[in-house]
Amino acid sequence: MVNEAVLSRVYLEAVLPCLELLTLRDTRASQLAARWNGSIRFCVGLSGPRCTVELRDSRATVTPAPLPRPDVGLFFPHEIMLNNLFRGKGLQIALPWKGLTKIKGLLTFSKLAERMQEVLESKDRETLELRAELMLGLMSRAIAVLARHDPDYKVQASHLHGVTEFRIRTGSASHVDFSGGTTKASVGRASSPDFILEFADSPLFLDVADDKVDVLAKACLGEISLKGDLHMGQIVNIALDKIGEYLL
Amino acid sequence: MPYTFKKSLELFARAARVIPQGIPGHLTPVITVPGSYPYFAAKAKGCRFWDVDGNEFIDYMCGYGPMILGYAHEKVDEAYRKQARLGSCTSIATNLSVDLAEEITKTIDCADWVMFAKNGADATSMAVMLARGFTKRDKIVLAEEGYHGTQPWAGTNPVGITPTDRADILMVPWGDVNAFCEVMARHKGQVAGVMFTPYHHPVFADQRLPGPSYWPEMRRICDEHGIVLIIDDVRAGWRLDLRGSGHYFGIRPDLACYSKAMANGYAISALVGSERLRITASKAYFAGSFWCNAPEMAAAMACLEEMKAIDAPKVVKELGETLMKGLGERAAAHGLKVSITGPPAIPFMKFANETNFMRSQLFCGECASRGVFFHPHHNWFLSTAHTPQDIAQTLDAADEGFRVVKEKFGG
Ligand SMILES: Cc1ncc(COP(=O)(O)O)c(C=O)c1O
Repeated sequence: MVNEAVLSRVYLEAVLPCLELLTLRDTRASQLAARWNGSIRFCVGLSGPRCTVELRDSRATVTPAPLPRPDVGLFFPHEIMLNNLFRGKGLQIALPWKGLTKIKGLLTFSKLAERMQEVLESKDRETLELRAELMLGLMSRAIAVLARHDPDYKVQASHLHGVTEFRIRTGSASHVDFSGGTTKASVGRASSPDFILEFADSPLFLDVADDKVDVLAKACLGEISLKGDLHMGQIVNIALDKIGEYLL
Repeated sequence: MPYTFKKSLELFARAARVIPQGIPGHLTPVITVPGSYPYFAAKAKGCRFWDVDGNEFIDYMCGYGPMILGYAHEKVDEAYRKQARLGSCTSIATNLSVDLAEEITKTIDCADWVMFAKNGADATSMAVMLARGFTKRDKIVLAEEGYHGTQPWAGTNPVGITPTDRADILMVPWGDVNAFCEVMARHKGQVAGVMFTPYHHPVFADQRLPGPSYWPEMRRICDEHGIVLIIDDVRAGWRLDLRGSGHYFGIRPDLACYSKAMANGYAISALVGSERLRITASKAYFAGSFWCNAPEMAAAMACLEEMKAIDAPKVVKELGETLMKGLGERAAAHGLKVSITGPPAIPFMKFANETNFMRSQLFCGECASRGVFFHPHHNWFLSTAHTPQDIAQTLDAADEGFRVVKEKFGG
């Protein structure tokens, strides 16, 4: 069951940060970002999640902390309204409490969001590595969101102590640290992971992300390696399934 | 010759195309240490099995428990074959169901009656239903990290379980009487039964034995609240005491579940119960197409007879003690800290200074490539077919395993 409050955090804290890598690596995205310099702040309810997307010199920066003076402020009275914006359907009411006139900024953001979706859903060979890297980061961040906010998953994750690392044998990695009080996601390799899920290459990882792979069979065939704390692996896997439900 | 697994891998590639996961259920330890473990067995005899590539292993998993007298045991297998020639799945039950039930009621001290099925999960599910039927209550208390099969109420399956399936299941930590009492207080008059294993044998953790007052205390609380006390003896049964693990730990449960070692590898399970649950059991409808199969019952009869004749629990206990002691000594000689837990017949070893099992995976992989089949995160089993020579050979392989762990991890 999708919890709308958690989903809004997945969008703001796990999906939107993809814009940083996207504008860094995708020419089309950086061209779009170059059209406007400024910041947009998303606020859900009075005490819901917040996040600021700043576009400057063709790059995006996404920060959870609110910037002091955003150029555009979007207030969503209810998380469903923010979620509908990302889902692209249903009632998408946002009250632009600030910067109503900065239409260009909003248009740029919406074009960038479209481009992100295009890349994340693309089957092109050229964008494959980027897509894999985006998905790796998104996955770790989304797990961290669930571990912090999903009422059921929070309980399961609270038993975990250690670091899970996802990596592609030849390329990028991301990891989730469950050891501190709050679960934290980062890109890149961990210094001493307790559970490692390694994929032979990016296409395989992306197929796994699309839920098209018999992971355990691939592990036996040596194309995926599961190493270390398999119990942690099982609990992380529950989150991966949940992310699938959330972002379907 | 170093062990290679070419044929295993080829076979697995075929398996993965036609069987989800390739090998459902028992994928570990293969999956944890790819390249160090065989995937498919070709034959087995005594305490050893040979994989499809011809590699030989001394087996400390014993089929995850069912093998207690040794693979391809002459007496048990002959009893099975003889009965199979007389008929297997007949339309009506055979005399063997009566003979076997009588034998079990004479053997297990809490068994006033017996109902047969095929798997451990059949027995545990029947027990849950009888507890509810007897008390006319809904809730069942289980222990966290306990395992009772893959049926929805048992909750181990990550797929396809709805909250409704588990709505009447209450979880408490194993061995925590206070937590149990709290649950009782919170659900006064609603708890039908409690199902625990006789001692705690979780995966990925040390095994824990009950303290002397634990089971008597549990019995007292269950009686006070009118709760059916169920012991899931599927894993430990027959290895600790032929009279039941309840007897071994000084407790008489109302219901107890058996399977695994009951017929040395043939598919049969049993739910046994006390007199006061007989009438409820008589009203239930439990059946399965193969539940009355006579050859498995003949195998169980032969297995029981042999376990009694050689005092199987004593044999496996002594062998387990030798193994545990030897492993402890070899690890210490390398300056490694291990924790070896559980009853000697069903021991488990993990490295004391890690929680991520990386040392265990390396150690078990090294042992496997030297012909010793251990599991990195699941308890092991001894059989009466293991010999002191097998254990000596095992300890030599383990010594090498410890050396490699020391080299890689330093401690
Ligand atoms: C304690 C316990 N109960 C129940 C079961 C389920 O038995 P089965 O796999 O035969 O259904 C097992 C199996 O490992 C077990 O260990």
